Amino acid sequence: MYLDFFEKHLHTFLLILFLSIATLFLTARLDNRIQSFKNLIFYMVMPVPRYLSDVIKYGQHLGENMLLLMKAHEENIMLKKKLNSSMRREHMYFRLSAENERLRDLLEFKKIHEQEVVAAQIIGRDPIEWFKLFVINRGSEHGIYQNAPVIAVQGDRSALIGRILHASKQTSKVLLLTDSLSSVSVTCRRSGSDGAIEGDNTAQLQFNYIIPESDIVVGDTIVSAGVGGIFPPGLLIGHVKSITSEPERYFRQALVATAIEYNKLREVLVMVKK
Amino acid sequence: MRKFIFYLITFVVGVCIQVMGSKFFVPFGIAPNYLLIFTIYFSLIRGPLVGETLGFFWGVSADGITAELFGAQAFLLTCIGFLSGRMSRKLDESKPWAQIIFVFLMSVLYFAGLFMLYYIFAEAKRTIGFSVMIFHPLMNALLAPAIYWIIKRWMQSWFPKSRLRLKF
Repeated sequence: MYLDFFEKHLHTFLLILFLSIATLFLTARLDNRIQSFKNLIFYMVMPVPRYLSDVIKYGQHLGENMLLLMKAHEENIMLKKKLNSSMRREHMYFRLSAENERLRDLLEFKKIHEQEVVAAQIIGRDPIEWFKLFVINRGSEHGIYQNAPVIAVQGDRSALIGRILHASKQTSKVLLLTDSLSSVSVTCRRSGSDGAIEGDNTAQLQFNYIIPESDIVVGDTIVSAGVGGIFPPGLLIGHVKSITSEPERYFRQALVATAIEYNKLREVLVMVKK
Repeated sequence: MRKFIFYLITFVVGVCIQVMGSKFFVPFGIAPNYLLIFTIYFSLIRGPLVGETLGFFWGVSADGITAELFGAQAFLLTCIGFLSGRMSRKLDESKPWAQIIFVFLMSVLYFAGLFMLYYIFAEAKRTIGFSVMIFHPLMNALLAPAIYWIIKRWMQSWFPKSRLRLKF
């Protein structure tokens, strides 16, 4: 009977209970225990809606983010193009800067030596004949003639590198000292010992016909002797790198390193008559 | 057990909807009181026992996550749950107009109760303006049919063969 009564009025009992608890909360809400209980509810209830709201926020920004991503991709492509263009320009800048420096050196040589020269650019160099000959963009129209000495300038150094093999109207072929067909009478600047420089199709030169008594040591500067009338005397050619003497041969032989790096040649000067 | 899980999930979902709804859905600057609407509906469908129980726990949760007068929501939602539950079977809650009018009246009662509780318990007296007394209940009332339709589907998904009015 009591159970039936309780069951019948359960909602009333619960109402009284809940309202009592709520009233307790209202009246004692500043109490530390009630405050702690409130905090506990907060920490229990809040995480789920908070994470859900983060997901919704993320969803809301998804379209926006996609748009930004696409824009960033387009921007990336554009910037890559710009970068390529800038790199090409930078490369061109360095090339022109180096060329400018070389031309300045050539101009400096002309001023110092008061020699009539024709500046020319190398327009053709065959890899097979790398140390033999190359073609320049100046010819007989510019006053260039066969056997005219050819000089190169690198930094503060200028050196003889060859002679004109053939001059056409607009272009000329330059025979390098390193060609095996080249032979130039030279002398040691320090001791005055004479000999002949010959090429062997490599980056080095052979200094031949050195008499045993001649005073030549490693490091000596070799210049043109001016014998033969083709090359003026005193033009720098290179430096002695090593000396060899064989018992069965009368003459001694020396290896000469060129004063100019033949691999870095871009422009040359051709000495012409005034 | 199934009923317990159903009410537990309903309780959690209700709190989530209240928190997120007040963030993301505030038409004309008026945040609907979803917990109030839910309490009224469950009370009408299930009677005062379920109504006041859900109302109390939703109220305590709402009190816990707001800086308002602690206990006020619990008190009012319990009362609303009980009163709405008493109207169970006396009102045809399936009619949208009945839903709108009933939710509106209960919302007005809720705000009047809130005003009273603030008047009695709060140190700094809170004034509830006429616009709040009209527009907030109106917003709750207008949303009621849509929300009731969703809850109906929600309950049917859990208890497809049971009649909604079945006493728990």
